[in-house]
Order: sequence, then structure tokens, then C-alpha cells
Amino acid sequence: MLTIDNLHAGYNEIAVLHGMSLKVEPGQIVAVLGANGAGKTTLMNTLSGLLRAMSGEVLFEGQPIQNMLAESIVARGISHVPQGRRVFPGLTVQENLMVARTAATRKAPGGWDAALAQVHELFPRLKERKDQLGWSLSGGEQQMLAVSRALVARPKLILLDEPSLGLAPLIFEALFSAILEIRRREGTTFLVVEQNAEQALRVADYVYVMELGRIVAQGTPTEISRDPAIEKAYLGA
Amino acid sequence: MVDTVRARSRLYKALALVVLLVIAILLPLVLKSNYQLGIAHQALIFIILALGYDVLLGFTGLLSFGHIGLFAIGAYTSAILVMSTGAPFLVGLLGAAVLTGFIGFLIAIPALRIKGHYLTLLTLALGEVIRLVIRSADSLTHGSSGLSGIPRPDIFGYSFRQATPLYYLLLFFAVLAILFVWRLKISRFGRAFMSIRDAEIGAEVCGVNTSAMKMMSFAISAVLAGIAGSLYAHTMRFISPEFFGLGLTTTLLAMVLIGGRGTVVGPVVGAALLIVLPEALRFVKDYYLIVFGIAIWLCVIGMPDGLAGLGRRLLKRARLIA
Repeated sequence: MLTIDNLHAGYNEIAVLHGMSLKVEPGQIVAVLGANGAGKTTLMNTLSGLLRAMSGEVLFEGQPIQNMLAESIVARGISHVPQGRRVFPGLTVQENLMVARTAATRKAPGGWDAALAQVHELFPRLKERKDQLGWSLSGGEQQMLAVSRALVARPKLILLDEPSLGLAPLIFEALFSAILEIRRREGTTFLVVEQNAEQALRVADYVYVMELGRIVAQGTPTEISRDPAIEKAYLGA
Repeated sequence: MVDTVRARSRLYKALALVVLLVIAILLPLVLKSNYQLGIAHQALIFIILALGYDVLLGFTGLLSFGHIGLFAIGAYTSAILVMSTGAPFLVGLLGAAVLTGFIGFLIAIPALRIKGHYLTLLTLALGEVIRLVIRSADSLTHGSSGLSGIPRPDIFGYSFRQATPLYYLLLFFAVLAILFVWRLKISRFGRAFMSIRDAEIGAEVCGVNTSAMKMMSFAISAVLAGIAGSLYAHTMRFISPEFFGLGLTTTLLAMVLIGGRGTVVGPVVGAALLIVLPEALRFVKDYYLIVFGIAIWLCVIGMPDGLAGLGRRLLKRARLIA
């Protein structure tokens, strides 16, 4: 579904990704683990069109998408849940979701009403708070809203950037069960970058370990968690 | 309970605007002198200007110090069109709106790459350049001596030369601007503008074309500035470059901030207040600026969300007591 080949990217002249390569198969939950500064967010931002790639290739469903506008990437079926959630504080929950409407929302069966119903069913809290302003939500609710905003665009692939950041373990767990539920119902594929390896290893089908802009290890969660070197360096045993 | 319910607050705002409208319609019964009506004229014109500025500042979160430049272009375009070509007032108005809209669009192009304080500095420079160009283009604008004898509006043979008919013409345009900005706010575009203000990255990942939306916001606010400029020229009958200086930019900013940015009621109340207040403070003579300054200072401290925010707080308190 998504193939990244020898991707170099960064800010201005400074490269952060030095030849990243990875693959995501349809319906998978793929986790990318790595410490602070490994380039996880840079990877996500390049994939969603917030940053330009310097060289290399990103193929989505066989089509190159590197250097497309963020807007066109969303239209192709990739939604990005950015780090820090970026909820619109001055808009209501409902209006936050309305901003995320795209042509795909309208074209899907049931259109906007169905998209809204789906979100409300997954996260009943958001239904209760639909007229509340974004700033008044708790961290967990904001993360639910950010994921819901991504869902409204009816994506095939969702990029999740550090969903655990600042969330209590219980809430984080609820969020991940919602993600599993979304995949079960919609067949949505997920690419998740995380510092919190423990949670990510529990839900992922395949795991990449990243260091200084490169992939240094990969495997199934079992393989990765068994590797003593990786455990020591990245999983903080 | 503490939460803002948007629908209900919209209803309150609608009621407030209806009350304001009734007062505005009846006002000429009270205002007898041309001097008083003249102040009302200015208030209505500045309501249109402040609403447009709020689209940029309050909705989209872009702070421009060049908005008065667009107001000036609107005023001069309309005045020159009508005076030198003998075009009817409506053609002058339309010309002003189209030209300022186009220039607003041009200003937006560099604004897409520049953010925050740098954008403000750039627009500050642009505003001053516009004013200096107007002052130097002697043959067209009569330079610093200004354009005088601009005719009052005349629409299909109906003259608005008298103060009271002119008042209603300006009221008509102000109401139109209020309805337009109100509708804009609850439209797809209004939400996109506010999403950019609130979290630009969030807007981008939601598929909002932030560049197109910023250009549109600039253009809409510029068109409103152009219309306000045209109305100003044909109401005051005299315009000169000095009027469109930084002082007016500051006043415009204060109108939107004191009224409440990002709201529709805010700029309306803010503009009316900041036009009427200086006139009401005439009796303190030279101390006027001191009193005015302190009043603004108190407003900013006491009402960080402007008068519109204060109204919201009072309503909430009333509801809690009830």
C-alpha cells in the first residue's frame, strides 16, 4: 500500500531522514519506534505533504506522492493525525469535524451524516461534547477528536504521530482499542510512530526501529521484543 | 453548564443585532443636526471597514497593518472614477471594490510565505507605500492637498446629498456587510479561516488549502475596505493622504480588539464606540487623548475578549443565577 524507498527529507538544507525505506501492507498496523530526534515526526510530515522530500520515493497504491500538496494527499486517502493533535481551540467539536470534510466524505455511502454517526459511535464522548469548544476538551478527548477528524476524510491509511503523548495509560489504551475497532470495521491501514514502545508492540503487526533518520531494525513485534540489543537501546528495559 | 453552546450564543447575537438595527433605523429621529448625523455616517462606514479587518485578523489570525492603505485605494479609486470620468456613483463603488480586492489578492502572495511579526511589518510598509504613492501621484490625486468636492452618492437619479437619506444608504451597506460576514463565518470558508487561525498544521492535515484560503481572506477583507473607502470619499466629500496614516491603522485595530475579534457583533460595536467616544469626549478638550488612552487601556485589561466577550460572560452569569 505504502512503499518508502531511500527517502531523504528535512528542514531547509538540514536533512533529518537519511535514506529511509519501509513498507506498509494494506490492513496492517505498522509501528515505527525510535527515541527523540530519530526523525519520526519528520517522516510523518513528509508523508502527509507538510514537508518536501529532498530525494527518494514515496509510493502510495503504486503512485508517487512525494512533494504533492497536503490537500491532494488527503484527497488520495492518507490522513495525518499530527503530533500535539492540533485541534482547533476556537471551534466546536462539530465544527472541528466539519473542517475535515472532503470530497471523499460526500462520496462515501451516507455522506457526511454517516461519517458523523461513525465518529459518534466510536467516541460517544465527542457526541456529548459536540457543541463544546476545542480548548475545553481534555487531552484524551482532543486525541479522539484528532483521530475523528482524520476519519471524516474516509482515509485508506492513517498516519498517527505519537498518539500516546501526554495521555494517561488508561486513556491511551482506550484510544488503541478504538484504532483496532476502526481497522476491523473499515479495513483502515495505520502507520504509527511512537516513543511508547510497549503499547505499540502490543497492537502492531510489524515494527520498524528508527535511529538518526534510518531504519536500523525491523520485524514482528515478537522478534523485536526478543532482540536483547534493541530492548536495551530502544525499549528501555 | 460552563460550556459555550454555540447555537444559543448565536441566537443572543442575532437578538442583539436586531435591537441594534431598530435603534439604527430610528436614530435619525433623535439626531437633529448635520454634525450628529455626520458622526453616525462615519460610524457606519467604519463598521464596514472593521468587519472586513476582522475577517483577516479575527477569523484568519493574520495581523495586517496595511489595511488602511486598501481603504485609501478604495476612496481614491471611487472619487477619481466619478470626478474625472463622470461615472455614476455605483460604478465608482464597484471599481473601488474590484481594484482593492485585486490588490488584496496581490498582497496575499508574499503573505503566504511570511508569518507572524514579519507579515505585520511587511503590510505596515505596504500601507505606507500606498499612502506615499497617492501623495506623489499629483496629477491624479492632487497630492497632499487632497481631493475635494467629491459628489455625494446619486443612484439612478435619486440623490443622497441630504444627511438623512445618506444615513440610510450607509446603513443599508453596513447591514449588508454584517449579513455577509455573518454568513461567511458559519460557511465552509469561515470555518477554514478559523482553522488556520487556531492551528495551521491542523488545518493542512485536514485537507484545507491554507494558501488559497489566506488569499481569499485577504481579498474579502480588501473588498470590504474598498467599499468602505468609496463610501467614505462620497460621504466626507474630501480625502487627503494624511488621513490614511498609521493613526487610523491603530484606531482600526482598537475597534476590532475592543469590540471583540473573531465575532460579528464585536467590530460593529467597537467601530461605533470608537467613532462616537472621541466626539462625546470633546468637552474634556486637550485631555481627550489621555482619557481616551486610559479608556482603551481599561478595556483591554478588563475585557480581554472585547465587548463581545464581556457580553458572553454576563449572559453566562445571568444564566447561572437564574
